[in-house]
Amino acid sequence: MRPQLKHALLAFGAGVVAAMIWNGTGSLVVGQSLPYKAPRTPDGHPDLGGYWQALNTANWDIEGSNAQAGPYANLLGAYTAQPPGFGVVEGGAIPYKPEALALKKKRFESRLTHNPMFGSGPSGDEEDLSDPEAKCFGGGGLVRATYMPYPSQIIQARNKIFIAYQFGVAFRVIHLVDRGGDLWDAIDDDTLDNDRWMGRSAGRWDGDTLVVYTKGPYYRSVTLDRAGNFMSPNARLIERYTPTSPYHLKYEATIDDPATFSRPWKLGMPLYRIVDQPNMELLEFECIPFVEEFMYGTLKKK
Amino acid sequence: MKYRRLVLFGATIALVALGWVRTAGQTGPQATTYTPPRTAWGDPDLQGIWRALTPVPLERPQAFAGREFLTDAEMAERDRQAEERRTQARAGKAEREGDGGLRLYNAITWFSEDRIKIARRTSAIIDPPDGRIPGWTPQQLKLWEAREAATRGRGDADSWEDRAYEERCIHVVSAGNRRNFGLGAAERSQGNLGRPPSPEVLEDRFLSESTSGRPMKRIMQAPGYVVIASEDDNGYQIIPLDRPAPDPKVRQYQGVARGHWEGNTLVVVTTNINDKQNGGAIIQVDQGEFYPGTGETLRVTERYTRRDADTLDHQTTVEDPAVYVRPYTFLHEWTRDDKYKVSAYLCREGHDDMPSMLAAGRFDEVTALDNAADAERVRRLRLEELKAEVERSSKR
Repeated sequence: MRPQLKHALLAFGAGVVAAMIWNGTGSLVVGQSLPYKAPRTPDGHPDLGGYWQALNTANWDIEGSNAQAGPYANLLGAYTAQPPGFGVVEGGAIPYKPEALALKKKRFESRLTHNPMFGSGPSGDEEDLSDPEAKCFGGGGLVRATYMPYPSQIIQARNKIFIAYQFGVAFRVIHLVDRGGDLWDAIDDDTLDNDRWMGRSAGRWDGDTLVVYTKGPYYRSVTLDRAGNFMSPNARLIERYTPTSPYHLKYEATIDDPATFSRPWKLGMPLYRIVDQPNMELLEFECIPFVEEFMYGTLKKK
Repeated sequence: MKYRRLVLFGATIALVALGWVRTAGQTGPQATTYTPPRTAWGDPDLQGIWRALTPVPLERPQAFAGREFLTDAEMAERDRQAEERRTQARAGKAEREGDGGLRLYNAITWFSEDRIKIARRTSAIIDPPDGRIPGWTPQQLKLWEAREAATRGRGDADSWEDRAYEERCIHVVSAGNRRNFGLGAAERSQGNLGRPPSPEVLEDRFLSESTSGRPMKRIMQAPGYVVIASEDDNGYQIIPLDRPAPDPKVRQYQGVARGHWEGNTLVVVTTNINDKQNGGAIIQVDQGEFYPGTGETLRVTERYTRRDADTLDHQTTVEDPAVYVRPYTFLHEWTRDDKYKVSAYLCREGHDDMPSMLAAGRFDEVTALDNAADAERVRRLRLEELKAEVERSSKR
């Protein structure tokens, strides 16, 4: 190698190192100056495929909380204790309407009081306020499935994004729609799957970002965590999945639900690619057999 | 020398195994000359929505013994009968007879303008050649009798364990496909409870108008993966391609699926199945239709081949040396229906059936016992046959 070139390379290297030290954040700087471009699928779209997991406490409380004792601590010690965590809500607090905030608190108090005969009572339309996670409902529900403390898998097919969630053997299908503007009309085109649990979802690419529009009506209110946070069956949701490195996916969800909140609000977090298992696959977390006594025990023949 | 013998022994085993697989393959669908479209990365493209409902009984009815296919005249006659019944049903005039001679709701309840293609096959089972589910091993018979004993005296809803996995919303290997894994009890005693089946019931089963649910499948593909999502149980199967199965200690309700391409055929082998496939010690109330073993030694091989633009042959081989004296293979034709609007069937999430069922059991324990006894009578007929077969073969 010619000495000049060698020196030039050395100088460039020193400059990069200096820039990293200067900013104190290492590779992030490189990421910022040159936006990450995701690899492409064979049909030319950004490839988000793989196994992902959130590493936070959002499933306990999306607004964040200090550590606290869990249910039945007298029997289970620290097994059910709630870890401390920062919240994932932009701005820190969710803009509940007063009556919705009261319902949130009631949901928290009722989270483990499942009534198997709800809907069959005198009023007939009482909503079961217990936590779907405790009952092994698929993925814990829309949005929440993303940050349950278990892995998920994204598989990109032709015009479809398939996301499988380990908890409760759940999945959703996002239908890619090739058009601009908002996609609420596309959902109503009546060509999409009707899913009253995970909602009806249309998506499209915005650069490297997968943008997903989802609306209900859902079968019931959508529970967002163990703390009782929720959105109504008519909430509208815009999610964005942006690859920021080979190992990170930025997840953002904006929730618009005038029945529950005074304004739209947003939550967000990174999802991490699972790299420690070369033969990773979603093992089955079929939790129904673990919840039947909890759900129907009172109706068993004694 | 010892080593060479071992190699020779190994090679022989491999050849025998290969030979068996060959033979099994020969009984499959006719070779197709159709060339399927390819995905962007070159795999045969199976993507789309498929109607996995075939109007063929699993086992060949005695009336068609020795015949694999219907004649043209029989096909025309079935077509005419089906059309006549559709006309009646559309007008709300037909009543349908269900199992045990029960009059069901007026046929308009389940009427659909979708025409079900009349199938030419007399049974879905293509191997063994007699189109019947193979006999049981003595150990399976013993296991089943122990379960009958454990179940005797129970009502049909003493607990969730008396109810089918389908009702409990648990996905098992045979889910969405259960009539094809059967003990065969329900089909063989159709007409049920010992009465000879009425022609109407037979016809109904044959045309599969009585098949409730919508066995719609959505196939999706990505490099290295095939995904099959089912509407009727809101389940899915992720099939990684060209990957070895995990450690045998990994055991799951749905097993672990692995796929590979053989020409234009997707071959999916499911292993690592847990030992809870039959629900455990207690016989679930309509298990007359389910796979009867524990699942510990079950291996399921599925072969998907596009026969033409709108038809997908789905051939399944069920092997379980602990349960059946030989493997069996059944074939269904899936029909493409990309206009179909999938409606996710919420089982666990919208689940009011199980509490209602249990509550009904508590409300009327006498009827619960009666129902269980009816189900047991249906199973007993088939069990007697199986027992006789085991005795015959042990004398041989």
